[in-house]
Amino acid sequence: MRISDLQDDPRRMNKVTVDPDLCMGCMKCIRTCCYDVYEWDPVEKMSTAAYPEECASCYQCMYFCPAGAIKVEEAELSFYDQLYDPLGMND
Amino acid sequence: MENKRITYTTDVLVVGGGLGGAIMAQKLHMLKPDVKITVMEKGYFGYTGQTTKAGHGMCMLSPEAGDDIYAMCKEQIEHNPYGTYLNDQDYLLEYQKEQYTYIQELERMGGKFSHELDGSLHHHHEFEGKKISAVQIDVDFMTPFCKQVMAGGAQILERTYFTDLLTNNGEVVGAVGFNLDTTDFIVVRAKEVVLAMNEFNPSCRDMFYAPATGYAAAYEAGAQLRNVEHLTEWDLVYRNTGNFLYGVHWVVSNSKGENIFRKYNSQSVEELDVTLIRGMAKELEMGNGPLVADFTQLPKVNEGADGFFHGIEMKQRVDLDEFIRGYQNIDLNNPKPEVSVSYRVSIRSLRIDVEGKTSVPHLWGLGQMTTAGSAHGSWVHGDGLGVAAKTGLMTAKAMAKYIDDAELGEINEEQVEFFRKRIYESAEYKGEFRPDNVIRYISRLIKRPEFSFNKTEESMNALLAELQDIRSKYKDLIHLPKVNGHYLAKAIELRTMIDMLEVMFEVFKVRKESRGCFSRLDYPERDDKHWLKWVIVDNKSEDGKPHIFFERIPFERYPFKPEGWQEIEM
Repeated sequence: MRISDLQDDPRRMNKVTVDPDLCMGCMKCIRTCCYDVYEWDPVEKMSTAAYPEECASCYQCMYFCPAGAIKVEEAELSFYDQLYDPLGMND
Repeated sequence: MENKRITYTTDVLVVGGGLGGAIMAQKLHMLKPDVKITVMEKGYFGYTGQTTKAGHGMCMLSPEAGDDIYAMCKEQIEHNPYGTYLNDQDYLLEYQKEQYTYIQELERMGGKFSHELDGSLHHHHEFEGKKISAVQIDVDFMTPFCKQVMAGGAQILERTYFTDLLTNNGEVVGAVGFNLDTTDFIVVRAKEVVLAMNEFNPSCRDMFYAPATGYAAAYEAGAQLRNVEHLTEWDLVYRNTGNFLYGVHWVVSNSKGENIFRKYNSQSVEELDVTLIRGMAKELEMGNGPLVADFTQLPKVNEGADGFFHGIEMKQRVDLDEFIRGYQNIDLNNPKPEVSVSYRVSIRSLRIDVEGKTSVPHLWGLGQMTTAGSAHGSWVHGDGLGVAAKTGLMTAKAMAKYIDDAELGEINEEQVEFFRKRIYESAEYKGEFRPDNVIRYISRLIKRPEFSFNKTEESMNALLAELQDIRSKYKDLIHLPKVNGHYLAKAIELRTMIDMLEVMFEVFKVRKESRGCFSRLDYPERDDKHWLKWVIVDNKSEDGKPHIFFERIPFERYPFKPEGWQEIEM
């Protein structure tokens, strides 16, 4: 195991944001997410994307958000490519 | 962290509030209204599970095929790439018996399916030339079942992460877990425990990622796992996003325009077989990449897909699909998108009998986590929800027969304390990385060609050595950035992932042949003479290693017998 293999690779991470001006605190995103990406902020009374590294691009949070506050931006390399990566073709 | 202990007592504990768990709980309540039911769910009841994400349909015997269940079973046994002939035919026949009626039963319970204008059930052929039809459902299919479970008075423990099973003298007496929001320690005493969880799927950042927690708990409690080696599969995916491309792998071409499917003489138009995967890998090594799905080679009208989105009960499903497509990095107008493959390693191996009982008293299993373990082989690519619904009904009916005589067992406080310590111990770790960094590393590791389609005894030994190395030092590698439910769960997922992968690859090493999707480079041929038998694994060995043994398949009383079944060597 190399330490570099354990570090976050930004190319492989989705970007998930909640617009604080639009979020109305309905918690729909927290409920629909199967991977626990969102967390409730009890001070700001809104949802935050606390664990974007878990996002699996199902887009349900974005679809069900009634305020259009959520944005999911897919990673450059969304998945580990077992045919190309061992040959170094994704590096 | 205070980690307050909260203890509940119930008759039946259902672990997992997805479709299988919800249907099981509702049916049991209908049959036995006085039984106290508790549902433990890590998310929010009614929102989680595959139904709300990938749900589109359930499979049944095609009405055109008449009521020839034997013909359907024969098809499943002989052409199923997930362990050909390794089915439990008793289970399979029992499972298929209610082909039409289970859909009607679900409708009576509140489930909504698409119908034609004349009132008949809308269905379409899921696979060309097979005796299977699919009926359609929407993404909110689970809602009526969940509502009725709650109206029936069941106790719902939401945001509760199940971790371990409590045992007493080899019998299950309850379960423990913790609350993801408050980190409170939850103990549930129960007469019967039902595991209604997902498969273990260590694939990386993928819609189907699922942790090993349920299996690890069942295995630790002494439950047998069967056919561990028989649920690996490949999907054709877009190279940049990993999104699936179904039914077009036979038009994959290299940069010279050669059709890989034909070049390597691949046989299966239904599933990606290992010949095609090895062919694709070879083309890339020879420098003939990138590989593309050449849509121009497809026939103009795809008859197989006819009627797929036709159902009136699929409005939200279709809408969601279009919404998602609008945001993915996929150019839908590109006739030759770059493709690759995604290797899915699933364990669905919890062994159950025809009633849904595991090998441990008072522990039951249903749905996705048992499809290979029950060895019914009736799971076809795309019928996860049908399996959940049908086994949910079957288990509820069986349990109704036993629950009146069941008694609450005593829990062992020492064991409870051991589990409590193990859940929270990761809060003390001082390493550099998050638990999910190591999880991701391992998921990528096991997908490498030498550990997936080209595995050999040697490569698997190397992998097991690496897993042992990670096990010995992961406590020094990770820390929890915040001590909260999310990271505690991730640390547990990492520990159980290493445990179960070790079991998995030990079993892979034992089966010295290739069969369907299970492929080895050192034993490339199917070997019926030596390997038409079940490989079973449990934890009952003294050295702490997985205890692996073989079991004869009773072909003499099964209706479908492979050639030369009398000469199988044990």
